[in-house]
Amino acid sequence: MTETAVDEAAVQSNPLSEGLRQGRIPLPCVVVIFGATGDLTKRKLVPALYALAADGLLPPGFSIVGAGRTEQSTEEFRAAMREDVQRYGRVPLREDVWNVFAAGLRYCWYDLDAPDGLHALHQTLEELDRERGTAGNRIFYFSIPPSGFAPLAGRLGEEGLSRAQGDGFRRMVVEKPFGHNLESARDLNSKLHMAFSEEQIYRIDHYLGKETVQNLLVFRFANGIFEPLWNRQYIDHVQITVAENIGVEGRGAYYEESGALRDIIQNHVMQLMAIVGMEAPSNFRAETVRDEKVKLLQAVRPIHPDDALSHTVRGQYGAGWIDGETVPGYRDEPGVAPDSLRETFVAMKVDIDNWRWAGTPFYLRTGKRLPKRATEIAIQFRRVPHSPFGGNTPTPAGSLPADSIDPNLLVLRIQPDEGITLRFSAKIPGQSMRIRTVNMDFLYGSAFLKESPEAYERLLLDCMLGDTTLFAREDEVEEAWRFCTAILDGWRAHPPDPNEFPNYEAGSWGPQSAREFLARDGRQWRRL
Amino acid sequence: MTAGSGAASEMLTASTPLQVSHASGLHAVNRVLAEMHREMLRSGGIEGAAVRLSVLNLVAACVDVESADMASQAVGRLGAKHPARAIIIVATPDGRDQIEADLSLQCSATDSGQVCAEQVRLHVGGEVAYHLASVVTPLLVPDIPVYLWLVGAPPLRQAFGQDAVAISERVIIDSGEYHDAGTLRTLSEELVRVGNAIAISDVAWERTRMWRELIAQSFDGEDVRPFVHGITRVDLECGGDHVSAQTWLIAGWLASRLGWAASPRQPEVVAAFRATAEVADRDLIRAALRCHVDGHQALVTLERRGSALYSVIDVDGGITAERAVPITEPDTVDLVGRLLEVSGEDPVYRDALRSAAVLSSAR
Repeated sequence: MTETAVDEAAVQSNPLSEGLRQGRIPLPCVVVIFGATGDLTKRKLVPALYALAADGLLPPGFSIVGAGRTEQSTEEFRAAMREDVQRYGRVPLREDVWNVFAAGLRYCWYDLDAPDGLHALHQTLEELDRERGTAGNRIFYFSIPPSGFAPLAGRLGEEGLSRAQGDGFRRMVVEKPFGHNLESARDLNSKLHMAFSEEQIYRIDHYLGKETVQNLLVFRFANGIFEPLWNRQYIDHVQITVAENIGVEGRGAYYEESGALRDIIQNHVMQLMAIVGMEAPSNFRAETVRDEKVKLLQAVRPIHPDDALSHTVRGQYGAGWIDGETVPGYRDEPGVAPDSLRETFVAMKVDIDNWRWAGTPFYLRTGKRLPKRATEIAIQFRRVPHSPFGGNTPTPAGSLPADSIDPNLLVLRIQPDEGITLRFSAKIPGQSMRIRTVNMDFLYGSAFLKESPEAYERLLLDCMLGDTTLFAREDEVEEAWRFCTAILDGWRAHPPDPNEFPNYEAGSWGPQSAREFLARDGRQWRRL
Repeated sequence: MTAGSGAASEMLTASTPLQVSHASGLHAVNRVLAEMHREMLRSGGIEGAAVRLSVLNLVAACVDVESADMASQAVGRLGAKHPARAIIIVATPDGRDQIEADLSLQCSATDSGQVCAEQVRLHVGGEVAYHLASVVTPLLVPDIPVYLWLVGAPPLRQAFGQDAVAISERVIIDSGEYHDAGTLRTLSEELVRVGNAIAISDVAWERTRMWRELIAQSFDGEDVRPFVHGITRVDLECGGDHVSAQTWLIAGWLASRLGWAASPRQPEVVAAFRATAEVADRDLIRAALRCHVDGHQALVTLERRGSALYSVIDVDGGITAERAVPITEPDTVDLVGRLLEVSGEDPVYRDALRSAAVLSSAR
């Protein structure tokens, strides 16, 4: 055998990766999940990581350390995770894949209150570096209550775990909520930055991991025909709806603190609005895309607290019927005060003060216990300015004024039945001029006959690859909070009359005031 | 029939012929197709929304009736994911003068209803069989790409003739169908001859994708990456009674990507085969790459065990990483389906083919 002398510069790259679709797999690394015994770990994180392994997308030596305050052995942790992968996983468990995956699973007890409470974690990570070649690359996943974010980040910083050594990387992932108002969001960001730089922080909004949300970017910026119409001249208004048919599902105590505005509007809906409204980025690099989203959020016209009531509608569900079954009202849910004034429904009008959108409002609404689960973005185009089929010109069908012809509508369905529908007018065959609207459907799933990866799979892989495009940046979060905090301040100053709530029946599309709210602008909510 | 989920979701579904008809002569074909569509809508013969879609023209040139039968079934399966006007041709220049067409509407179930696409099976005999472009061109749906699929193992010099270049943007071939050791060299020469006039996709190359990905990924780790330029010996083993095209393509890929031709010390490449019931003929069973760099050694081994591909990386005698990745078992039709999604030229393949031609000829 001959020995080969190697040019140092040449070894920096892997020429075998060229031209391969899966060429970009992450470097060997460890994902440390704090809150390893929690629901998110069981239902989403470990099943998502296993699915990546089954798809061959994880690097050799990939390892997971479950960190929790419950004492258990690595074997017990592996057994529990196996059960969870079988129960919640997208892909069926295979023995051969699982055995290799499980060999990289460890469990570690930790306690932030104890001086040596991270000692075991330190040791395990060093052991994995030696045995599995993870080279100091770590991702710390904060699957813990928000009150624990800052103390944990601080402790990781003190222990030197947040600082990368050599070429390795250290990243942290946090789940929403990122604060509960602008001030707390800023405070949290500044505390996290004491240990991790902004480039190391990955704020997960799982909506952004959905295929259809990513397809929104492709739809807008890879199709030349829509962008010229994507502005105030052609679009009358935009409606974004996030409807849930479920209630608070045992999270009454959390929801009492949060409410619909914080839980859905501040993050998911504002992110969708930013993607629908932003300018075309010059490239698809993370910072460029996020810069454009921030610009859009900065252009959102603030709602003064005194105007909060005239620009928004609050609602709370009472008992009702959904899917043929009776469901309790919000105030009857466990953990909810019997006289709670917490909103479970929000509708609002958002004006965007920029060249593209001036005068074209975005209407946002979200609610729990609505008739069905649906997340949709509807672009309502302006009506034709003049109908040649009516007016003063007699036609066999009589007059067809312009306002009798439905305007075009482009609906982007995020979930379920991901896809796109375009509504347009067509002549009904026959001797007379009769017009009917028809829908042209594009169903995402059936067009590609390929199962989409779960949002967490995409986001975890992106984090391992160091791609921050689909994660919220500090300034995005703060801009969204700036807008929402003013509304929250206004609501606090003008709480609803206790007798006003509940103001909509479970299984309806929200309070009557929401319908009146749009009717004042001469518009109506879509019936989903 | 609906698309499956999980691992099977990429597999293509079968479809059912909804209507069949026959036409003699080219002029009759389009007329009969239009009639069939009208009849379908009039009778409401299928449940759910019937959608007629065409994303491409797929022309399958078959060496005989048997391969045309196979192509016909394949086109039906491909239709759900790649709704196409499919033209299947069996040409018999020595036969009697004829252009006979069997037409059918193939419908595949999807979540949103049935997607229907046309299939025209042409039997072309006599002198006109030497001028197939003139037969096919009037039947193509305009403004969408034309893929020419060479089914079986037609003579390569003829396959890349003027007709192919005249009608299609891309030719799909399966170099694994040829048993002649000189095939890769001939194919490489043909590609040089046609230049950029036509793109090529090779089913055998697509079969190697998973192996290439795992080999490449084995060198991604910081500790293993230096060894990618220190490969001293490659052992490849495939199933069957000869070293398959895809085995040589893997060797050619390594050689071309790593610039072995320009290297003063070329790594030793050992390609072997063995008959085994465990894998299909021509499929790879094992790949081992020995590397030496600055006094250190590494061994990267990929081995098929059951339905998983195991990769083991051993550096200086210690295992540093191990993986097991489920092997997906796409058949030729699934692979052709994947190639229908490819656009543009694949320079990595052209380079690999050129090197594979040299390596296989030197054997």
